[in-house]
Amino acid sequence: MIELLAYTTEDGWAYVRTDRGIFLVRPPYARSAMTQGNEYAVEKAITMHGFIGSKEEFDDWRAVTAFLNDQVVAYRNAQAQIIPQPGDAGKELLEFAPPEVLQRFLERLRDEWLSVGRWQEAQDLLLPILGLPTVTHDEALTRVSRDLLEQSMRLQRQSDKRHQELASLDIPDDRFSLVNNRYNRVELNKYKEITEQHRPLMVAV
Amino acid sequence: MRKMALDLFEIAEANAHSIKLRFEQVRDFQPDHDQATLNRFEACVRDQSTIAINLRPWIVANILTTGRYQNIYEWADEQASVSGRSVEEILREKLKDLYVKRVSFDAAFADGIRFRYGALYLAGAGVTRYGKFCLVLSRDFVESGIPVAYVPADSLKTYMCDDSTLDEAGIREHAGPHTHRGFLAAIKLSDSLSARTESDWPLLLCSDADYIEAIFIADLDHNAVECIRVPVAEYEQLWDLAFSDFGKRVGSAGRALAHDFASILRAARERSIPLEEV
Repeated sequence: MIELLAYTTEDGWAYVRTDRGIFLVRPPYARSAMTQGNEYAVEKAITMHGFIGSKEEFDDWRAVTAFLNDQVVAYRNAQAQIIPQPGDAGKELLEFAPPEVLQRFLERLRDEWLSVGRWQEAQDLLLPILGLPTVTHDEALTRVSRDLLEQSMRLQRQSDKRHQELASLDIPDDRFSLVNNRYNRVELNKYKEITEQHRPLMVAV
Repeated sequence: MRKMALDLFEIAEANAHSIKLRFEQVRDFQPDHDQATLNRFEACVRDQSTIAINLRPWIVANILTTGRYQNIYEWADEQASVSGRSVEEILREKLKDLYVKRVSFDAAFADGIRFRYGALYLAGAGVTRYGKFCLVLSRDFVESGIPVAYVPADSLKTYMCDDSTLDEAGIREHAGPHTHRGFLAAIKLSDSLSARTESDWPLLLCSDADYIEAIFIADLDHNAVECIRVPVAEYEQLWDLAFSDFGKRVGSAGRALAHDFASILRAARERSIPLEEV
């Protein structure tokens, strides 16, 4: 059980009490960013920093963050303030990103996205990056960005080609007898459909 | 009969002489070397300090873009005008058990409901517990004649008794004016200074561990802001948030935060306010 002690509607900060103590949680609600609090901090947050006192209880973290996300949406909608759509918040920030931040984005994109086939996200980031004045005025950043875009597109083409080849193979039913015996035909066709559409395959353990 | 409200700024001003005397007593009690350190510290605070306010990004974005920085009463006033409910009802709902303590403190002072709170500040990230964005007010603004008083610690915690009455004697003894903030800081930190180097002074004066509270009355907009300071780790986390959003894994509150950060960066650029990582 998690007890909500105080929260803000404008931006979704909150103090909560768990069996491990009092914590300050704030967007984007990464557990690693939670900081230890105490009764005094909660009091100060309410009396001085615009937090609303609360005694609500929640079953788990998902319920707490859902509540806080809903509060922010309701407040900002009521104030006719913008919450960007997924993907747009990052784009809005890009024009202010200094070269060292863009450099870090490119490194993370290469290490975290290209290596696992997240071509679309990579291209969604690289295309606007290539149009930024910070990048067009920086030869090294332009070169790295362009190389990564080409790499991403090449890898995506190769991946698409492999998928098409696999999908077009006329595989006799008895070719993979072990698989065919173990899984039924409906499940295998579902998997085929998912891979053809490049949709993520959810694996339940 | 209702007690007359205290004028905090008048009290602080009237206390100037006694604060200076107390500083001299504290200093003269120290060995020669520490006396020199205390003198240098007092001069440093007098010549270089200003007021800083640590805030959440949403509030900083509002100050910079709309010039609005509401305290709890101004917020409740606005809510009352929209909803038709009374200010008291709204404040009670928001403050819950802490209503009496907050309202009793502010009501004890003339213009208490217009008070704004910050911390005496030399450098660094400020009191980050309540907001990672440290709004450093310009010395020109602080010294432009606005009413300012300083107390050695969190006023609500230090000067409100358990029965929600004000420790008036404590306030009368400790509150100091802007001109004497150096003496006030030196008295408070006299025992700690000798063991620390000058580079530690900003953190000794103002950090999550402790601070000297600045109470003032003024409207705040971008003109009052000298610069904005953000801890490096926080700055990097905000950019990580932007990156994550391209992976479309950020919830509504996270995207609202990213939007606030963009608003701050845009306003800071337009108004030539430096945003510094510390």
